Amino acid sequence: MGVLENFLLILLTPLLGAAFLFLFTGKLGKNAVGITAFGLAAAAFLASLGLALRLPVIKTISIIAPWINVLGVTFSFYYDTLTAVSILISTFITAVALIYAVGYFRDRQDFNASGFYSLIMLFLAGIIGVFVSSNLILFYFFWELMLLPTFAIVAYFGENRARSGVLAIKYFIFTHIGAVLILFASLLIYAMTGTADMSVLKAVLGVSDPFMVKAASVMLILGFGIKLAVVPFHSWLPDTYENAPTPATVIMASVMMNASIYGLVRFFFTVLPREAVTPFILPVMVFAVISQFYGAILALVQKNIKRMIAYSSISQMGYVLFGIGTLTYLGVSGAVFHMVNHTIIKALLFMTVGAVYLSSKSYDTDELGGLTAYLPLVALTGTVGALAVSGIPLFGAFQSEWLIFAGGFRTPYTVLSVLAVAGALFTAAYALKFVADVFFGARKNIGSRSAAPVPRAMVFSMSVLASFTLLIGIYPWFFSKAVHIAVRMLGV
Amino acid sequence: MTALMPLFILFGGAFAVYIVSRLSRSKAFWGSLLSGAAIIAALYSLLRIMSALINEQAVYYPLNVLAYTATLRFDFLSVLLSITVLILGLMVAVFSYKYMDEDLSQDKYYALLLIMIGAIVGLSASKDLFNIWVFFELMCVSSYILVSFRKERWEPLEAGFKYIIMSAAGSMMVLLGISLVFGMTGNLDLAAIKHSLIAAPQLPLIGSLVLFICGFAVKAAIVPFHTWLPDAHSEAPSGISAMLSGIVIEAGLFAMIRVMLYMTALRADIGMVLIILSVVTMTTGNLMALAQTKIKRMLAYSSVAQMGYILMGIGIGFKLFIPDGFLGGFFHIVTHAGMKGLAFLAAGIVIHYVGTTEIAEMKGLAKKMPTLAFSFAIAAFALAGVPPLSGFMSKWLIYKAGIDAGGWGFALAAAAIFNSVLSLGYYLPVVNTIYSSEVSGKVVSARRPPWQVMVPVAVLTLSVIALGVFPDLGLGFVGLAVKNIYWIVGVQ
Repeated sequence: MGVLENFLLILLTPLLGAAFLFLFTGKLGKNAVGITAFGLAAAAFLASLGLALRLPVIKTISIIAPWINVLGVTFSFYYDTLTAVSILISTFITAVALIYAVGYFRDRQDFNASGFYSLIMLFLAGIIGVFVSSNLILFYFFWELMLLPTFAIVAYFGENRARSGVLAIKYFIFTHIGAVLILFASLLIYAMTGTADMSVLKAVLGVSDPFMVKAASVMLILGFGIKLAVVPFHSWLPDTYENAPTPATVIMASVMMNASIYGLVRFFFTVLPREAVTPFILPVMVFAVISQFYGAILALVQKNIKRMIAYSSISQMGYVLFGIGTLTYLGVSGAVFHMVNHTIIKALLFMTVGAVYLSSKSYDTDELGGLTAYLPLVALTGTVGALAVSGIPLFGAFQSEWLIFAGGFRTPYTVLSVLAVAGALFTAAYALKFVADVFFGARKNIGSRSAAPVPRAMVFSMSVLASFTLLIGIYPWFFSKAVHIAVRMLGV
Repeated sequence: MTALMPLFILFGGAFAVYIVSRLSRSKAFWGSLLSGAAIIAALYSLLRIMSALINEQAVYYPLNVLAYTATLRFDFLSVLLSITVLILGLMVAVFSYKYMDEDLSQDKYYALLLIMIGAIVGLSASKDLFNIWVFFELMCVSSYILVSFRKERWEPLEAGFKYIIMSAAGSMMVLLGISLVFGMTGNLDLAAIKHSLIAAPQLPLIGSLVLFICGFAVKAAIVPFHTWLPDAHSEAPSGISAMLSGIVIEAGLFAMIRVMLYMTALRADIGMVLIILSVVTMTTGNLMALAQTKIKRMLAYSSVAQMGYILMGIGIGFKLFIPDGFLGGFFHIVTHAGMKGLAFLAAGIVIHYVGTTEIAEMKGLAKKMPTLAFSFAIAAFALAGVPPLSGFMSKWLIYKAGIDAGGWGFALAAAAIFNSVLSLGYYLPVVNTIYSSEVSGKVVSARRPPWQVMVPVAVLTLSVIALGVFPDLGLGFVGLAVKNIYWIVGVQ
């Protein structure tokens, strides 16, 4: 298989798969549809792995095909190590989450399986498109393709039937404003330079009107910041994550965040010249630290465990943003590595929440407790997830957080870095509280009700992720190597 | 003769349709079949004209009007508008076969539809003020009757009456403008007028311009001349609403542009006026649409807003001669015909077969009619300018034109983008209602729409998606039309 065929396989498998699932699986049972969707995601993962393994030889792949000739906008894609890392982790987690979904929806009546899984596939196609496009217009195009299916999932499959419409609109308006800011910045860059090709823009922008370049970079930071739920723009996140059906929350909270992290890294280091970014680094880092504290503290006070993990996302994105904001090799490597770890850990935590809910029919910490006796494997994997998110050695996130803080201390902003390290304490606090409230202690108000066993597919997928985060924690070499190559190729 | 072929076919077809379906027992069948055949034949002759134009042969037919020379001359601009109106007209003719089967006097319906289409084709090819006015009035008169076609109810009559009064006032202003220009130059042919107007006195010239802009603006529903539109478009039969919103108001704007293109001396000032009107129009249209509870009134106000986009693109084109402005404006005419036509046809099916015009009573439509709900959702997202649908492609060209303009252009682009986000505020709730998990009583008792009305809906849905993913399918034609504008104005 040639490089081009391999590349097209990655891009088209989810896209055509979405159409296939939507059109032809209406009559199939929901398990069959779910397994087909898993097969498609796994195929995309394998195809991506195949292309990634060629990268040591061919370094960067770029593909250009005509699209809008009148304007000179092309279908242009590239595939370098950063892209490979992002696609691999995203398709892998999506595939695992789809196994989880099959288990989660096992007993659900009145579930439109072909609609749900085709939307997930469409989302996957959108996010892969975001990772590979090297044209500003194409990037925006795929960015919205990624948002639309998630809106539909929140609106039509939401758990809170009465309010999911309103919550979905809130989510869509917020993220659409973010997207539109990215579009505005892209058009500004396009108008200034006459090219929308991301691989050549850095040189061209270096000699453009600095004020306009800075304006574009502010808009990009705001646009991606909204999607990352950085603190003043975070209010969509807990509502959306709480309301989305848990398998979709798993995918949105873990995989969708990768798109914004990827976008920020890509624009900071491949598209924008360094002078256009440096003036905004201090505010970015300040808001990153604020998000870190805010998310962690609010997670600590939540009674609803799904909201608790949702707030944890805000806090974790603070770490990532802090790492990117350092603009140092260590910090950015840490951020990209943390993206990988966070994807696994956040998926694992939301899966735990879903499993707990399925067995006890409650998200409320006042009602839960003592689940270890009933669901030992879920308790084990959930505890692994909680320990990992608090950055304890032996678990994946330790390596990446450590790199992020190391990057922070390379910058002149020592106070901020100290604060960022201190924020990790709050993370540990809510993570341990989560474990204590759910798995240990006595069965509280629902003590009389026994916890139902959860489907094996769910336990399996959680075990896979838990072992993965342990693997990264104990033997990070392979993963950190890929991340380091990716960041070095960006020329940080 | 070639230049008259489409008009012969359409007007001759109108007579033939009337006579045949008057005499036959199945009026709807023959009316729909013959008008469809006439439109296809006209489309074929237009494609012949198009190929002649590409081979650089002029296609014209000289006319003598009261001893003044005039010509009916096709150029790429006319071909663009004519092909759009013919394709949309074909969809409406097919749609009306089953949709109008409970109405009286269908023989007249199809004849009037063909006359309206013929008038727009004629209008597009007119290069002299006399013919422009004649065809313009013909279009208006046929649309008055079609708006009040369901004369057994009160509301269509009232809407039609309001429409006649306002539109007639507009026509009179145009006529007064024509007489002023005729008095100044002694000529009716626009090309000749262009030369003599260069030396014309300023004040009467400005007076005639004001009259032209106000007169045509009534027909094009530009704020503050839009008040007839929501009544007329919501009370007309849905096929006619699709025609009115999709192409008739654009034809009014087209006539205005055609005349303005020859007023070279005041080009930049005209552009400024159009730009100011455009911002007012799109904002008013969107704000009014937010407040609507009836689906067709909402779509009607959204047409006002969309006219603002077209006007903004063309206004920027006039002011600064930025090709993307014209390109975006004219492409938006094409894409808007597709998506608004689709939205009105889908809404018409809901009104006819579900039996409600209230958005709130359409809950759970997706459960009963999934294809229709999907099509409407596609139309709504396309109208809101969400990629990967056709509306995005034309809108971003307009944003890009604003940003290319620089300075105040940024504010224009920001206003247009803000309006797009605003429009989501009324499209998303409709989509949510349609996909709601509750099902309203009206939907439960809905009749099943026959496949004949679903065919045009499916075709238009595909076209909206296809033009979004491969905009070159339409942009090629539009590019030629924009080149044509440059030839007319004589700017390179």
